[in-house]
Amino acid sequence: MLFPSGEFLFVYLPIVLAGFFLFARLAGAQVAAAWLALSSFFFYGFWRIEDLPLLAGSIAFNYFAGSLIQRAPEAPVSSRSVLILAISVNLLLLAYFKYSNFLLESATALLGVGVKSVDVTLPIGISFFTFTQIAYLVDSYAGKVRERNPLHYALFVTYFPHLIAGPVLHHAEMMPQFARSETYRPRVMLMVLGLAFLAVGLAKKVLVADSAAPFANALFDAAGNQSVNTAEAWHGVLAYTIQIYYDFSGYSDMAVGLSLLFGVRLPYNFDSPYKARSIVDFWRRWHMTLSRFLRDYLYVALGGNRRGVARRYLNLGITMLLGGLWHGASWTFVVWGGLHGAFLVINHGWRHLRHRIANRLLWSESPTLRPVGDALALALTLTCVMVAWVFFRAASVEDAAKILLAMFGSIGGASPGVAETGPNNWVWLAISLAFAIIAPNSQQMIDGRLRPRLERLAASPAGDLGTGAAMGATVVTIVMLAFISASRDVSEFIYFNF
Amino acid sequence: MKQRRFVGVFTGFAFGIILALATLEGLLRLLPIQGGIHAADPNDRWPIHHMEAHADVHWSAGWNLTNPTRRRTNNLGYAAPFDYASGARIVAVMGDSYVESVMNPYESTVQAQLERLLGGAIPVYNFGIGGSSLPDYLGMATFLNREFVVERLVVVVGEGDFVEGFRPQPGHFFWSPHDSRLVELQPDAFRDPVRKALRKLALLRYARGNLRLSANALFKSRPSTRTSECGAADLLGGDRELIRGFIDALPTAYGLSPERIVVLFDSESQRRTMYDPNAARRDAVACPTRDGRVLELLASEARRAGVQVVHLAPTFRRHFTTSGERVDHSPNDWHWNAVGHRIAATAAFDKMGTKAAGGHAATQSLLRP
Repeated sequence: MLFPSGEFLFVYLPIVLAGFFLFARLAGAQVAAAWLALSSFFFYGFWRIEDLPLLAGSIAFNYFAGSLIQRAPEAPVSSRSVLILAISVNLLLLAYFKYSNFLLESATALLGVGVKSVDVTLPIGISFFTFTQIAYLVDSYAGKVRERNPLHYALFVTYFPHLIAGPVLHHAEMMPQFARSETYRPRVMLMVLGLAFLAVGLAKKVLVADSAAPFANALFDAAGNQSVNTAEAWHGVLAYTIQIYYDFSGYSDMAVGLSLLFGVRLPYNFDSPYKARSIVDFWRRWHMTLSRFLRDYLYVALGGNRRGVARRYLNLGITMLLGGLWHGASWTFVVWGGLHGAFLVINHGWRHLRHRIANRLLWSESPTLRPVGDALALALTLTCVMVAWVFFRAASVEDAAKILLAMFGSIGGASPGVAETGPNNWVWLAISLAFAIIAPNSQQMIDGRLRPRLERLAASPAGDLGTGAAMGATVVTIVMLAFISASRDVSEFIYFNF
Repeated sequence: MKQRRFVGVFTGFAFGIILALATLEGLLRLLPIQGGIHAADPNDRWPIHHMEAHADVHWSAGWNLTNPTRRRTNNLGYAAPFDYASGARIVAVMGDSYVESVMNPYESTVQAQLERLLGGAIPVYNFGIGGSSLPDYLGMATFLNREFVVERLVVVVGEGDFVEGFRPQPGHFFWSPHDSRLVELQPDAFRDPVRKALRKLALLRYARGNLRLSANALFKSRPSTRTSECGAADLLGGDRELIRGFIDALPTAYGLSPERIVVLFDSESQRRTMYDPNAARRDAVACPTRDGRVLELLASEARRAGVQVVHLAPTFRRHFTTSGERVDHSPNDWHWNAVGHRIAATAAFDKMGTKAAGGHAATQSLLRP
């Protein structure tokens, strides 16, 4: 069930939402939580019912391991041993489902020995629920969380707005919300805001990401068979740059919005990443919950910046390489991660250098030159990000190299099959990119601007009427967007593959 | 207090929905959305499905209203910028929405381009209506012969044209289940005034026309997975006889010798494969279907009977490979564009055996001996 589909929006969501508040009112919060957890299991099983035992087993195992860690003094084994064992089991499971064939193929290529591939299907969302639970185990070990209620734990992991493609959650930011009694009462204001997030996310996905996808697909599909020219390469890569941002941030907005309908706030995952003026800044704005996870549980665990400059850069490189590999079992993701690692190291090096010579730099304080410097920094950051996206999207490193060669010099003729790169398409792509760079993002629009206005409206004599009207109008917008989505080929969210 | 709040929110909610719908309706009325099919009420002179006479036809494709086109119907309710003159000697072009071609300016259509190739000396009338199928092309002969003198016939056949003929639709011919007749006319129906009024709503026209909204489309949730295995595609009992009967009856029905009939075969699935850059890598081929097999049979039977047959797929492929130019409005709309229509018109013209003669001589050769 995709969020923009009719069966999700018009059947699943209304039933689950109505059931949640009805059970909460008639039978209490525990039953409502159980209903939500069961509904989330159903949501997961709807994708591939065969994966359901894996999810249930993973939850049971990690809950048990977490309980052992939390009961450290009384537990028969040391909490550290349990932590190491539990993380190993999680990683082995992920490795088996996600990386076994990649490892076998790589070993075959390196050693020249033919090894048969394993017949395994990647369970949807495994990377997300594994990371969420590893974070829980580590936080349990650090004494940051205590969870005695298996139902709440199951709900924390399976909660359907985030289950398939994040955000990657911390136990500590979710469980207090499930424990609050007001969560189980419908709150009109949160519902309007939730619907607004849902509408904005849907619009991003349906109107922009799905429109850019054919241009990107045409280039990356063609790259495997034929040469592409410079204009086609830039056109396709720009289209993918737009597609992945609007697709993933659209999904994240929908997740935030859906969760708000249930009175639960999820963390934001994006903060206008294409406004970034450096790669360091980019990673503070892109897939923020994964960046947070990688920083807290990998980079810091490796020593972070506590062991000197060289070690810091090495840790950064390792973190980004593994971050790349987390996305998929392919060398293209390793290269993507490696590239970002290298960009980050260069960025940190440059910052260090700039700090030393800042006074001598002409533009650092000049009111006229500074905006030029900022624009150049934004353009350079975006170009680096786009270059890396080529590896992220390409089917192979060879295809990626072919596209990069086309982007930066090698000029071929027109290639049948690659999307038309007419002026209208360029203008449309440019507008979409400009919007991502200039316009306020979803949380700025909804939480920053809409919310205060709604609160003022709610406080006025016609408050109920006004908020109700806002809700009705947003529902019509959502229905219309769902209709538009239905009129096109079904396209999954990009991050559902990870 | 709680109840009052609930009533307030609920009233506001309903008001918000109405306001948003009214705003959308107003907005869509300003935009070039599809005008919908304004089917004419049935009449005895022309009881087959056609559009209202002298009416505007607005077309655009997809949610984002690409390729907006404005056309007009003529006195007989077909999309053409001139009235059809009763008793005229004509070249008739039969087909479905590909021939109706409301997504192209009239000058780009196969009928207009063919008329130009023929030097303009004989009018080319199109009788294309969306939803038509093989039985229509045969059944309409009676009415065409009653109104016009058909000198040549061009039939555009596409995928689905055989199997769609088994579903009786108001105003359309269908394969007759009775042995005595090959095709039968499903009587056209008067349109309900309520439905007529509803069809004027821009929201409905946008949903049905541009978005092609249906319950199936709305409740699909997974990407279509094309497997390498194809389903069964065998002919059913009676298919062969129907096709033989059709091809034998066609020249007689129009009173034409078989070589005066050109059948143009198009394949959307082959065009889809043609544009797919990974098709070669995947060794992709369009899956055979019952309809596809029947159309193959139709082509061979037509050749046997002396009818002129053109498969457009190889010509389309050649054109795309050499120029990179698409022959249709894909990916939003798979109907032919001006290029596709030009290729089809040239192919029909070539088969008419008049290319060398040209001009007036061509016209002479078109007329019956």
